[in-house]
Amino acid sequence: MVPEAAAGAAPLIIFIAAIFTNNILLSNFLGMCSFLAISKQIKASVGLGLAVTFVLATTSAINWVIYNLLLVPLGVEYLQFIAFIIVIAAFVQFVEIVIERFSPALYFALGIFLPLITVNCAILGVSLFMVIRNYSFARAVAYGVGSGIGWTLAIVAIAGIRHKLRFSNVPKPLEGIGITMILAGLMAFAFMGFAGMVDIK
Amino acid sequence: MKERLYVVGFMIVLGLVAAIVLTAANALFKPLYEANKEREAKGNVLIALGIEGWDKTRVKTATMETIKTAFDEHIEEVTVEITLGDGAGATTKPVTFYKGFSAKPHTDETFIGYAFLITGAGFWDRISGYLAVDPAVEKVIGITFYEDNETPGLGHKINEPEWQRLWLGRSIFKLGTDKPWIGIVPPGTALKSNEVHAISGATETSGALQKFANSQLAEFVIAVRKHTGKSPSE
Amino acid sequence: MADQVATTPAFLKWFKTKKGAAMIEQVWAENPIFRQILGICSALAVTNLLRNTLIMCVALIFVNVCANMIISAIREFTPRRTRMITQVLIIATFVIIVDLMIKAFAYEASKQMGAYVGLIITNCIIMGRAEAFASKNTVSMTFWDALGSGLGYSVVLIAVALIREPLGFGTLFGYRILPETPIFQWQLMVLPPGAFICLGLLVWIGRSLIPEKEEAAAP
Repeated sequence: MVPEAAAGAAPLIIFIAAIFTNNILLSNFLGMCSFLAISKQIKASVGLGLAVTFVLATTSAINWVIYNLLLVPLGVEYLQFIAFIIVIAAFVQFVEIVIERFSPALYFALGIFLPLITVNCAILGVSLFMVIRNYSFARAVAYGVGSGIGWTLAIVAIAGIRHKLRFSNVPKPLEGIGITMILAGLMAFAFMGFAGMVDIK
Repeated sequence: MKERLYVVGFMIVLGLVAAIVLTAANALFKPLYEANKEREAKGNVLIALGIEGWDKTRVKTATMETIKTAFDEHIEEVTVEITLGDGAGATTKPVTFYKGFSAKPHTDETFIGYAFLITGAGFWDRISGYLAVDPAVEKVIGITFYEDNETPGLGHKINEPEWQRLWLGRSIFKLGTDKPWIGIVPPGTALKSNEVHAISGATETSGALQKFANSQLAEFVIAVRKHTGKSPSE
Repeated sequence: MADQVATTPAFLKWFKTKKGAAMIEQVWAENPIFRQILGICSALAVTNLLRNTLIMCVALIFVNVCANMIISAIREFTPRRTRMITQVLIIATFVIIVDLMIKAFAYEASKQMGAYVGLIITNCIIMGRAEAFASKNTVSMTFWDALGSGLGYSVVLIAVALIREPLGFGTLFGYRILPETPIFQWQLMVLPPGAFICLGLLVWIGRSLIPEKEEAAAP
């Protein structure tokens, strides 16, 4: 009679949950800064989303390693905030250089938003949640990738709706940020319908 | 070159100052945090075992000393090394559980039961609590949770006494077998002796709870049998 | 500066000192939230309980003020190239301190707030003020600016919490103020969608109240 490891759901389940039921933007409020500024243009949203997903996947992996193989053994878990944010900043810098080299068009479109990825709450948030929930490496990466895709899904969907709204009669005080918030709320509400879709057993 | 040196020097000094400040802050505040955690754990062991009417409000308002005294008076902590698996793949692991007594001296007459930690990933975040079983290691005599971030009104209802009461008296073994398992089944289905009804609507939380609670239940059973030297059939 | 002071409501005219103007500018006229709603990100999560919201606001003001004052104090010595990483490092240090303090003194709240205290680091308000103000102004001016922007932020968060907690739980600050009927156990308010919608509605109300003049001046 061998009890199996008492851990959470399998990486695949976490991946799917991160996109739908535990969407980092619609359920955890993270990543709204950059999203609010850009979500009017669908193409740019997709581009930013892909960049964010890539950064999320890699930084979750790197931060997992740093936390579990460096900070914990040394007993300095409380430095995790600093370590994570430095890793993220450095990595985004690297991504910026790569995008500039390989796709000047994308670089031109994203412009100011690349530095914004560094302070994108979602990226730091994913690393912090991964630590709190004690994910294994596989689960951490699954969570990172899933969160990125979920974030992209959310901002592209909202960008699409805002695009459609441009001919609607939105009351002046509600224009821009107000209506976007309400949209996000309704979308978060809709995503809640996914609960129970994934069976954590 | 001079500028580069300055930049590097600046960052190093900044880093050092930050490190010193943080180490000091950590040394200053961590003990309080640890004390809080210990208070919570000890208080909840008392609650799970139903000792002297300890409940959530009392634990919240009581001082650390009160809880410590009550804990020392009524509880014994036991850690047992158990072996999991056979042969080459075997691993050992320490398992801790608590024995609760109604009063000192700690004898068979005053023995109330065992309690052990159940903790694991819930649907949203970590869930932690204590499960208490009777001295014969057959039935549940108490359960309590102290940490969860589940959906209020759904998963979070595991904290409600009405739901926790469903666990009392349930067998911890599948009927007629030696396999420790408490099933959390959909509301409305007929209950076997080792099952409780889930909270309606909280499928994910229930599933997660069932998974880790039973895993830790199994480990506890192995540990307590090793501790008392009794084999399954006794 | 004089223009913006002139457009603030009459009852605030006594804030005409330079420092007062700087602070009040942040809280009302230039209220970062009403204008940009950028930094609201992470903190919305805790607004379903007033107690946690207040702790978050205090934490944010503490970090905003302390970090920005230090950033301002060393602005002459900070190499241009490392400005951003320096700001992040200083902010992160104070966030860690605040997190340790919350874990020590408000244990229950810290469990509910989870990772969101740590996410103050990426709070756009703090970074924004560091870049736009602290790195270019004196320490004492920075203090008022940081205090003001922190308060402006807090006003909005508390406003959201004042809607979410009574409607979602029927309590305020843990004390029951509304009967325990289903109307006041409105799940939607407790969960994320409620926060978004409340914020959207508050923005609607807020922007309806601010005079047209400032709408035109905004970028």
